[in-house]
Formats: sequence, C-alpha cells, structure tokens
Amino acid sequence: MNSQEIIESGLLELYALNALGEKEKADIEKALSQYPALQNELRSIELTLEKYALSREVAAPEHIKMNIFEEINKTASGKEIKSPQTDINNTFKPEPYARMKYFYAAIAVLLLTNIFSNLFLLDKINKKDEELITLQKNFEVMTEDFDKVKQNIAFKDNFIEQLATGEVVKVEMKGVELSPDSKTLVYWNKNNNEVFLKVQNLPEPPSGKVYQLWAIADGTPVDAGIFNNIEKDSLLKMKDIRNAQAFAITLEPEGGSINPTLEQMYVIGNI
Amino acid sequence: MTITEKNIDTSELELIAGLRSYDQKVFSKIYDLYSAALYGIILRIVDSSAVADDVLQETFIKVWKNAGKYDESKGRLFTWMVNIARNSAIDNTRSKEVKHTSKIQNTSDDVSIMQESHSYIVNTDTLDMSQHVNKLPPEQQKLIELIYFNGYTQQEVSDEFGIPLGTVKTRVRNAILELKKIFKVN
Repeated sequence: MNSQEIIESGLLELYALNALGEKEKADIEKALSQYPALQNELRSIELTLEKYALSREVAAPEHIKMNIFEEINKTASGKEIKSPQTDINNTFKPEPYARMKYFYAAIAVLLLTNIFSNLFLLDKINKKDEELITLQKNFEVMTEDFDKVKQNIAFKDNFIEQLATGEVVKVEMKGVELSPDSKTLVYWNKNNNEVFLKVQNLPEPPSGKVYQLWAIADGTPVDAGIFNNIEKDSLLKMKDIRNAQAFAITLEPEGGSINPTLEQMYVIGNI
Repeated sequence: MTITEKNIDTSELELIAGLRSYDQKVFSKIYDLYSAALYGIILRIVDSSAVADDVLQETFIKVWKNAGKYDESKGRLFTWMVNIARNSAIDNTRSKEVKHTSKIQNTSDDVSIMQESHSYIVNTDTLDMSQHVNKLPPEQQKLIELIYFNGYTQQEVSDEFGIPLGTVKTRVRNAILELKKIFKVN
C-alpha cells in the first residue's frame, strides 16, 4: 500500500483509536516512519478525536490532582522510580498503587474502629462522669458530717476541760406533773456564763411550739434560749446566763415568749 | 519547515519536553488540559465514579512514570494518554466478563443511554461542542463511542454489528471525516 492507499483505507483512523491488531499496528508504525504525509494525516485524525473527547469532558474531583502530585513526589524521592525509561510492562505494574489502596483501606478501617471505640468510650466517660458527680456529692455530705463531728469533738473536749476545772455546774432537771419521764441536764459555766443543755428525754414538741429554757435568778425567769431539737444526748449551746438558782423548760409558741407559760413546764432543776 | 513541526503545535512540543524532563509545572498543565477529557472517557468504561477516580489517578501516575516511553512519531501526546487511560479503565472493570456484558448492554440501544447514565458536571465551555457532536449520524456516533470510549477492537465491532472488517474501516473513516467537518479540522 502506498501512503494514499493507507490514508483511504481507514487504517490510520483505527490506529489513532488504538483498535488495530498487533500486526496491522506494526505495519502502520513502519509506514508512518516512511511517509511524512501519513504523519500529517494521522495528526489531523488525532486532533479531531481529541476535540471530540474534549467536547465530552467531565471535571474530575479536585482531590485527584493533589493525590497524583503527592504520589509522584513520593516516588520521585523514593526508590520506586529508579529508571523511568524501563520497559512499559514493568513500570505499569499496579502493585505499588494496589498496595496503597490496601494501606488506605487499612487506615480507613483503623479510623472507623477508632471512631466507634471513641463513641463507646465517650458513653462510658459520660456514665463515669455521672458516677463521679454522685460520689462528689456524697463526699461533700460526708465532709459536712465530718466537720460537724470535728466541731462536736472540739466542743466536747473544751467542755470536758471546763468540767475538769470545776468551773461548770451540772444541773439535773426532772420532769414535773405534765411530763414525769422528762429529763434534761444543764451545764452552766459560772466563769464565762456559758450554758449547755443536754436532752435526755423530752417529748416531741407539737407543731407551732418550741421548748424554751429559763434561768431563774432571784425568783425572776430569764430567757436562756429556745430549741426544738430533742434528740437524745444532743448537747445544745444556750444563751449565756450570769446568775441563776434554778433552770426550767417550758413549751412556748414558736419564737419563744418573754415570760414562761408555767402551765406548760416540763422540767425544772435547782442548783 | 518539516511536516512534523507544522502539525505538532508549539504548546504540544513544550508539553512533551516538559513531561520528559519531569517538570511538575508542565505536568500540572497537562493535567489541567486533559484530565476532564480523560475522566469523561474513563467514566464511560468503568462501573462507578469511585473506580473512575482511581483510574484517572493511576493514568496520570503512569504518564509521569512512563514519560520516557512516549514517542511522538507514533502519535499525539493526548492519544498516548487516552490509550493508557482506556487500558487502565478496562483493567479496572470488575472482570472481563462483566466488562463484555456491560458493553453490550450499554451500547445495544441508543448512544444517548450512555450519555444519560452519567450525570456528572459537564464543562459548560464544551456544551456547544456536545451539540455539534450530536449532528453526527447516530450510527457513526455509536461506532466512535464503542471504539474510542469503550475500547472495542476492529474485530469486536465487526462481530457486534455483523459487518466485515473492511466495512468497519470505511465506516470509522467516514465517521471521523464527519467529525473533522464538525470540529473544522483540516
């Protein structure tokens, strides 16, 4: 075939489309090197196909370009591409890329696993947080309790100290007709006028009522403070009293009274 | 002025020289020029856009690594790249059998099915061109699509259409002559 026959055969078109068998392809390549006119014709076919392909173009996702440059920079500095001109069949091996695929897949799996375990841990942490808050609250309550106990101990230590010096007068108060089983104690420190009340047995005060302690000095009742805590063995600090011959407890309206309601006297004790 | 110089424009020569010297700026330019066209072809061959993404990446890495193998006496740079892209795409279809089946399914009806099956972002600059392509008689368009985009060989086309090899050559030539007129290529 001369160059004109080749041009008219349609072989150049199929060559440009890479649709020829090996034999025909080799024949065309040989002819191309012999006839410059064929090259000219081939370019024009290729340009046509190129414009056709460009007319059908679809924008590729942007990250692909970045991936490609990452990849070529990696191989350029690495060992994978020692001679870029080695046989096409060797360099076309998909292994490095396939390996990268597995690598990315492995990373994806790791990331997913990580996310799930993080969610799981987050849930656990939230639960632990709740537990911690509860514990913290309990701890606060216990600390308060402990502080109270400490104060109580300090208070009692001080109290014992005072008892030991003989400055404190212990007044036993016994129940009267209204409540014969009632029983209280007053510790009165004559030195600093402090008064402490220890409830041993008192009935629960009715609602709207409180107990009031009185110190009777020279026949006159003096208010020594109100209370409604009747817990057994609790030690209550009352008002300071400078002078007294007796102590008594009456039931009074809430807030206490100026003068005792004698009909409502529960206990009394002389010094 | 030799024929080669006349037919390979300066920018093509610059691209080739840049690629051969592993100039990343030039490579970036090549990507910008041709990636969308190659992606369009790859999408018509593979089963999903995810695979197409991989194939496009693979194609450009092969182009970079094999820049030294490119021989401009055998064809334009883009033709060489299309061949790499097409081969990679065919290798990446799930299997030869699936490839064959999908080929027949995709192409046994009108070509418009293939165009519709991929609703991707189309470069608006080239929309006008797409209109021109539709001027090509459907039979010729189908022929070009099968060979150019689906990688059919001359023999496969002959089998598919039940026409002799010689007729395939003639029809392909006529189709490309039509395209030359449409794209005003001398």
